[in-house]
Amino acid sequence: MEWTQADIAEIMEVVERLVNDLAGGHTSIPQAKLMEVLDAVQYCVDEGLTCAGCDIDTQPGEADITQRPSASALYEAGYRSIIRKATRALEDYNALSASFNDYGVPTYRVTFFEELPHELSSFDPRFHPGEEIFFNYPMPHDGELLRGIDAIAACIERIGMEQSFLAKFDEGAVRKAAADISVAGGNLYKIVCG
Amino acid sequence: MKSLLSKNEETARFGLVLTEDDAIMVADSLIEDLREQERVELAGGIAPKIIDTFCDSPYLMQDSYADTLCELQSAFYQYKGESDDLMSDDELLTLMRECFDEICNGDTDYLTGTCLERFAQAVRCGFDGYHATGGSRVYWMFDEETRWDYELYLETLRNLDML
Repeated sequence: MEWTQADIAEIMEVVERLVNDLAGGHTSIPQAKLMEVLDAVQYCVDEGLTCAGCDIDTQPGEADITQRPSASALYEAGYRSIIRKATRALEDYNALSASFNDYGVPTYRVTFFEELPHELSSFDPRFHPGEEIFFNYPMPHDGELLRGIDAIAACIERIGMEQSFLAKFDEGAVRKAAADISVAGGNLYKIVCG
Repeated sequence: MKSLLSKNEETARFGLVLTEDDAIMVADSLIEDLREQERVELAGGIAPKIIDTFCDSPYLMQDSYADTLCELQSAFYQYKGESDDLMSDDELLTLMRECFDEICNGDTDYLTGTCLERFAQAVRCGFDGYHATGGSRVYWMFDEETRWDYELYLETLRNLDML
């Protein structure tokens, strides 16, 4: 996206608002906090550019600047998109938790019942929308490291796919296979991926 | 700079006045402090608030006013970070003023090297009693300075044949 002077001025107003919210009455903040805010704003703008329903030509030199939303509108669209994703992720998690089977694998259970709830409840869409999140559960990816709610949602989705797949087999057989692999030093994911 | 010079109206009655050169020095010191402490100032600088807090201190003298102001400003930004930004500006300034007057006798090196260092460590370890008092009357819990106690005072008076 090609930024104009007007974009920069607008987005600095967003940054100022967030910084004042973050400062909470303090008259100064650490530089690191300011960098976090800038990263958060950039992440939301990027999300606004790519979220469903956005129809923006982002090719440099080709964009009709008068047609695309303003920088602050992109930020707000991105922020709302992140909120929608978070809501959907929570709904998917709750739906999955009703039938989740850990097949006796401790790391599987910890990931689903401890890590995911923690990440969902502590996710901060305003100040840390693109936080790097690492799960104990191995997450295959297509070369792009997912961040923030995208990482959480992807983990829930993949666990959901795995649960659907494993449910097609005899539970006892899956448990035995998991136990055998565990004794051999492996993890459940090797049943599916290995 | 304007906000600093405008404070002269209030501080003149305490015999404290900043010249333009003094104000420039304080402003330059602010830039250096922020760079050194890796902080971003949102409201133009803490010096006006420091003046408000310290202007009636018996240890603030005209001949060292600007220098002391710079030193207090540096101490403020340093210990804002050292206390992990857990103390509000007012809480920290209240603590600084109390220690400056009642323990350090106006010595800013002593203030930073002893009281603030010790208190910041306590804050980092989880102490939050300053919230209830606004930073006032809380340093005493961590005070390790040796002072006169009553018996020592009486003995000294006897030795001076004053009793």
